[in-house]
Amino acid sequence: MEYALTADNLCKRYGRFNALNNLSMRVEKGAIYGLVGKNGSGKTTLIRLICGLQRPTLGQYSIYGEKNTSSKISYVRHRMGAVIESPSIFLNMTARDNLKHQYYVLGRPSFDGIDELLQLVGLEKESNKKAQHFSLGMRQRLGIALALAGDPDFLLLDEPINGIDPQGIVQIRELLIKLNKERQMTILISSHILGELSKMATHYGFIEKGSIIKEVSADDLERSCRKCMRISVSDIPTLIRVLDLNSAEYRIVSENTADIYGKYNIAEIVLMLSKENCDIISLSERDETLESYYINLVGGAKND
Amino acid sequence: MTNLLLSNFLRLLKSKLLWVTFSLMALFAALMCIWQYTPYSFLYASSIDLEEIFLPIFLLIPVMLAYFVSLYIGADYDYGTIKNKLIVGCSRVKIYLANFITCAVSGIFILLGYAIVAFTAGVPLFGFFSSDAKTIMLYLFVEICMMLSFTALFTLIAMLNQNKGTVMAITLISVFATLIFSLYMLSMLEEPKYVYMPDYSDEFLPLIERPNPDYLSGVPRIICQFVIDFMPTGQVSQILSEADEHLWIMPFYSLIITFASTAAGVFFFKKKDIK
Repeated sequence: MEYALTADNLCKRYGRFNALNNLSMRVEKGAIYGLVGKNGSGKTTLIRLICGLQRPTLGQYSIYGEKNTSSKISYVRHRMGAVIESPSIFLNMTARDNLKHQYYVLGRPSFDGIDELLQLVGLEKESNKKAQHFSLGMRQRLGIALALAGDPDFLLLDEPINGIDPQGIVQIRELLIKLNKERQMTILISSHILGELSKMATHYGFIEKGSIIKEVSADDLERSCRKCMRISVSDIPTLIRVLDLNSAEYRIVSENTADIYGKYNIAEIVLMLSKENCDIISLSERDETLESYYINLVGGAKND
Repeated sequence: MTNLLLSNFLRLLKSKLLWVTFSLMALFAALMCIWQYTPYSFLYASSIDLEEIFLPIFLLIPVMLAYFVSLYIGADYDYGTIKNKLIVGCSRVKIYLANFITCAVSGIFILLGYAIVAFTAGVPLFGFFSSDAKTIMLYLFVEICMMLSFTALFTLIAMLNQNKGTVMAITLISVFATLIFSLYMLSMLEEPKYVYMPDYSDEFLPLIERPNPDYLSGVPRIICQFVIDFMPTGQVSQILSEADEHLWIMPFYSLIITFASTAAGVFFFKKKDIK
């Protein structure tokens, strides 16, 4: 198995605060790796470390087998592109000039490919417009274009769809899937918007308090995500009593709603509720989403 | 590093900052020529040399450089574009040196903004330089070395601090504060050795020559002289006061400051966490 990125016991301390706490992870080559975590969990810190903006306090990471302490790491970084937090663009320059600037930084011998890049991110009509007149979505797409300027094999995106309109989100998602499929680009993407992430990620890493608490492939996640019956009733204590009598596995979702997992005799439960004069308001079958999986995981980690 | 320099110069050409600074210097030069050519100026001097038109450049350059360097390097942090260089593997040493060289070349360009107008307008109004070519070249060499030392110091501050407002405040305040300090030290050095004081023992209070109690001598004098020779603003204060007997040593001190502050800047920038 080849990895684009491996991290072993990475730690990053700011004063007394541990932003990263013995973080270990593996990102397979060709994967779209979704980094999932709440605010302050360490996602951005991790991406900053990997991109060389900051140095780890302890531990190490490797990019395409090259350790961060190696003198050759800068050559490997030529194969990387990233958009960290907000897009890094010169607002007083046009989209085209921003790309030219990045081409110079990369040492590219000519400006061939700029038009294709602008077309790829959907900015071909705005190429001569100054970035200060761009919307947030356009700036984000320009940031991605800059990250792609070096034809990277490994793309890191830190919450790239924050603040983007729904159409923009779809465009970015389709672009990333296209890059992954056509160029076998490895993509590490951190996001809060789990629904979007679930539409493209092939692997997930769940980060909490500076550590990766779980890494799982999309296939494994799908297998482990359980179906359940969501039931809304007029009297939740009665429902709880009935479920306990049936030794059913359940989770209370709200003051009148519960999810029931596993195999169950729904007719029996309905009859027992009816005898107790408990009305059933609604009944539906559900799959566990990435969101509920993550909440359960983090809740489990918190309870450990 | 050529790549980084090319990208920096592309950004310079596209930004208004360099042209604004260049224009300001040209404007100052024009105003200087007009001011010196007014009848008011001739009340105090029977003739005005072209050298006097060029003297203010020694004060203007550090102020303009403080403004330029803080905004130019600050923009890289403000827009976050320094990240784009680091992410693709550009070495921190090269990023630092490229920024320093860009600011130094810009400093020369800004200097030219003043020199071109001062020369073009000044020669017809006041004639050519009255000093010999060797002196003029020495002043030019001192100015360029001084400009490099200011650039190195301001680059150090700007590269280690991500807030361009703070950098501009620190650099400008430092220039004026150290200039005032230098002028004070210069005034101490310029105290005469002997002064004429009234003899109070004589009813006619004749003036007699006595040693000046404020005259600095010995080790304090050597230290004081070294400090204002070494400090870039000390050099400015000496040149503006035409107390420039130590002109020959100023470039050496300027180059020491340039190398030392660049080395220190590179050292600390390599360790800096970019946020």
